[in-house]
Amino acid sequence: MMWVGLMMTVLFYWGCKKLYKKVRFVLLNPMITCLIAIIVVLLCTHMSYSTYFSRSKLLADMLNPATVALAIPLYRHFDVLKRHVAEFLLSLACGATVAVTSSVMLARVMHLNGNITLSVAPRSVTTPIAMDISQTLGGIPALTAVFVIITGLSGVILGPLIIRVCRIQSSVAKGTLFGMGCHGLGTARAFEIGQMEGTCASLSMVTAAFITLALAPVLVPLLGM
Amino acid sequence: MFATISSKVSCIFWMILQVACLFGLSEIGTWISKVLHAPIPGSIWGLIILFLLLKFKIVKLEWVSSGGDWLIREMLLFFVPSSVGILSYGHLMLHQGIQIVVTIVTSTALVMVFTGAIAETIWKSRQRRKVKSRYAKEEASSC
Repeated sequence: MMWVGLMMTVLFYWGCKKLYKKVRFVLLNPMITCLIAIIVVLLCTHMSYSTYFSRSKLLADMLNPATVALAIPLYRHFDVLKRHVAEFLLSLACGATVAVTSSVMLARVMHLNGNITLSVAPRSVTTPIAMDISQTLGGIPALTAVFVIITGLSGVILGPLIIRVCRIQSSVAKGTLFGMGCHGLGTARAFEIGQMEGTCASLSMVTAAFITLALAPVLVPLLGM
Repeated sequence: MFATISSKVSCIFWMILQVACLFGLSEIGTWISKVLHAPIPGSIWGLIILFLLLKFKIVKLEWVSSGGDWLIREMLLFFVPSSVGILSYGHLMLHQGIQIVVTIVTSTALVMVFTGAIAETIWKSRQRRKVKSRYAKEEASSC
């Protein structure tokens, strides 16, 4: 019984990936289809989220070594990254500012209450750091984790569209856009485009996290929160 | 036939061993972030450590690459269990879900457009400068 949650997740993921490879339709992204399939199964079998999570925790734990493994592409392409340091720092500093400011402003326009607004602010960075920033700001870390995932999903869908509409050609820009816009999920998506894009995305994800860590506690009070 | 199977098995064995090593590094990172009380999570410390180990040639790339590449390739899978957590906020999502999603989607689009456009502009101007300097060189040599 212990292994059911884990096996189910792996099987659904595998199936959804196969489906996506065949159809190649953005809304059928394996992340989304897999998520919906699991939620449907949990609702049908009346299994609670905490039971499911405790049974599939091993997979969630693998996110840490996967983040560590990002050092490998970073090492492989380090010279390229050194050459484009201006692109990275400038675009990410602007990106992080836009992320925090627009999240807070839009949340206010949408009449979301204070706690939720504070939890939305750090949504653009990788989950563990976002939760940490949320704690510092006085938001709800668990809620931030959910917002981070929604950010990831929307970024994975929007990213390829934005690349096409804005006619973005360079691998560096494609990578930074994914890494800044939607953290780990975006990085995984960028690796589908190419090694260089993925590497730029992983570097951007790490850098964006550091920038937001320093920026958010200063910027959010300035926005009147 | 037997040779291919045995080589495949040893390949998988090495991959698992490498994944275990990366897991160990992330655990070391977690320990460091606990001891230092730094706001940087353990996995990022692990990333920095592995990068330095590779950079100073203490660890060879082949020692971690097959396991590491597999982890990166299947990274989406590891996000699935925590994503299902949306389920525990069903109540909030039912009442304010649309506002929240509109906020996040709009903001994400803005971030991506700004970041991408700025990086692309700098990249293009750099490219143009490169072409110009090449022309200048060619002209100088033709004179």
